[in-house]
Amino acid sequence: MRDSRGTEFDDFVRTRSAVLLRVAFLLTGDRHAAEDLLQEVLEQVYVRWRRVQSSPEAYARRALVNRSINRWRWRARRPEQALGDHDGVARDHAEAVAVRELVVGALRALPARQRAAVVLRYLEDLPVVDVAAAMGCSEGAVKSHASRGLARLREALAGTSLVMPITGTGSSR
Amino acid sequence: MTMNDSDVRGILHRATDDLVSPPGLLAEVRRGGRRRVVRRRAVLAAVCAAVVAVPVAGVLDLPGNAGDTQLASPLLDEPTRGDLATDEGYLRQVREVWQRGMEQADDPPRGEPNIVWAGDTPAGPAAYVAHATVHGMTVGFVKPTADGPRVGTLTQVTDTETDGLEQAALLGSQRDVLVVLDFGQPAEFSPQLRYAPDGKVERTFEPVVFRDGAAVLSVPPQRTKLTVALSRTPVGRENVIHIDGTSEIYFPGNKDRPAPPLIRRTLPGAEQVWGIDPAAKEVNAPTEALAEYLDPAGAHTLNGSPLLWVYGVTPDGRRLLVETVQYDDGPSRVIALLAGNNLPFEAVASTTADWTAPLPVRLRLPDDQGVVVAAEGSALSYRAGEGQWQDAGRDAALLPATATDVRVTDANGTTTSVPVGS
Repeated sequence: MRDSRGTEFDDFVRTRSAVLLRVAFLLTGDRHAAEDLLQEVLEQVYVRWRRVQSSPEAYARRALVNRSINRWRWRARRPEQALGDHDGVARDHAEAVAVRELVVGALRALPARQRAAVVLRYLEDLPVVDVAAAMGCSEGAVKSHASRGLARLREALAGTSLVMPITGTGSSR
Repeated sequence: MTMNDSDVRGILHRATDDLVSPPGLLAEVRRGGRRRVVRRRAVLAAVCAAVVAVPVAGVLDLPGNAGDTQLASPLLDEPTRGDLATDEGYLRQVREVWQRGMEQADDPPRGEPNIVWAGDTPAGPAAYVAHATVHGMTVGFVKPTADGPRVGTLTQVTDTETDGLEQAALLGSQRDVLVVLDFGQPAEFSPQLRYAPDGKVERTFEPVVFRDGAAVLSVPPQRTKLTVALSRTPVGRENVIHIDGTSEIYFPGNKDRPAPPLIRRTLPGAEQVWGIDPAAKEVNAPTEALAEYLDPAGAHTLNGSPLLWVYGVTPDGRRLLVETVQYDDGPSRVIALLAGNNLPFEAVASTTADWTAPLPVRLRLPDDQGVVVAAEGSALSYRAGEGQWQDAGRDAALLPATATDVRVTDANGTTTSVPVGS
C-alpha cells in the first residue's frame, strides 16, 4: 500500500524524531508523556504532510509547543503498546539520572511559555524569529519569556553540581 | 555560581542526549496517521454529503449526543466463529473473565460483549471479544493460562478500521502458538529472521491460511525475542499486523533494555562535501537505501551494542555514510553507503562489527575508495606494507585502499596492530 508521502515522511521521522523527542521531553518533563506527545504530533504531520512537507520540523515543533502549553489531552494508551520504557541509560548511569532530574525539576517550575522559550532557544538553538513562529507570539515576547525563564532556571540550578564556581573569566561549568 | 548561555545549552543537552526514539515509532505513527486520515475523511464525507453524495467506505456513525459514539463494527454483532463457537461452557467462562477485565477499563461498556472467535489451539482454548463502549468499542484476546482464561491487552477503538489492532496473539508458556484473526484481508507470515553472510536480511513469507475466522500457527518459541513477522499482503512496514503480548518479550519483567551508546563521527573534509556537519544534524541513511538490511515487517529490540554513524568523503568525491543496524541479540551489521553529487545513497559494502575487538569496524569500500575503520576512544594509524606508520586520527578513519595494517591505541595506552585484510 503506497501513499503519496513516499519515503520523505519516513525519512523525516527517522532523522528528526530523536531531536523532537528531546524537545518534547523537556516540555513535558516525562519520558512517556513525551513519547505520547511526539507520536500525536507526528501523526498530525502525517495527515497534513502535503501542506507541511516544505517545513515539517517547524510545523512539528509548533504543534509540540501548543500541545504542551495547552495541557494536551492524555491519550488512552494500550498497556502493551507503550513505546517507552527505554530509560535504561538513565537507570544505568547515576550521573545521567541526576542531571535529568535536576533539569526537569527546574524546568517544571517554569511557566509553560517560559519553559518553551528556554527549550527552543537553548536546546534547539533556534533563532528568536523561529522560536516566535513556534510559539505563535512576537519576537519581543520570546526574548522576555526566554530571559525570565533563564533567570529562574539559573536560580533553580544554582548550588547544584551542574554549576561550578567561576574560576577566572572562563566558563562556569 | 552562575551559568552562561553556553552552560545552559550544555545542561539541556546533557539531560536529553541519551534519549532515542522508541523502536517502532515510524510504524506506529504511520498507522496512527492513517487512522486519523480515515476519521478525517469520514468527517469530511459527512459534511460533503449535504451538498453531493460521497461514497464512504465502511460505516462510521459520528459522535452523537454528549460525546457518545455508536460504532457500527461487524466485530460487535457478527456470530461467533471458530470450533468452540457452540461450546457454551467455554463461552460462559470467556464472558465472565471478560466482564471482570472490563471493570478496569477506562471506557465503560455498553450491552453484552460479542465473542468474535473462539477456538481450540495447541496451547488451549482462546477467544477474541469485542464490546461496545460509551466512546466506541473495546476489543481483546482471551488467552489460555494454567489458571484458566485470562484477558490480554484491552484495546479501545474509536473507528471501524481494524488496521492497527492486535489482530494476532502469541499463546502458551513457550509462546509458540500464534493465532491470527481473519479480518478479511490476505496476510503473510514469516517464522524466522536470518542474515546472509553480508548482513542482508533473509525472510521467507508464506500465506496465512484462515479457517473459520482464524489461523492457528505453530511458530518457534518466542521467549526472548520476536522472530515472527506478520503482515497483510503486500508485506511491508505499513501493513504490519500487531501481535498481542509482545511487550513481555521486548521488556521481560517490565524492565528496560540497555540503551545503546550512539556514536557519530564526521571525518576530516566531509563537511565541505556534505555542506553541513552530518554528525551534528544526526543524518541517518534513507530507509530505501538500507532496505535489504532492514526487517520488512518484524519488530526488534537493541542489545546495547553501540550504534555507529561515520560521515566522510571518498577520494573520488562521493559522500560516505557508514551506519550500523542491529536487532535483538543478532549481529551488529555495518553498512557503507555512497552518494555521488545530487544522487541518492546506495549501499555498497557491509560487514559485521565485533565490539569486543580492538578494532571493531573494518570495512573495505569498492572501487579502491579505501577502508573504513572505527574504534571509539582509540588513536588510529596505518601503514602500507613495510612503510612508515601514518597518523589517522581518533575514533574513526577512512584509510587509503593501499593500507595493509592498522594500529589501534586504546584509552589505556594498549596498542594493537590489526591487518586490514581484503
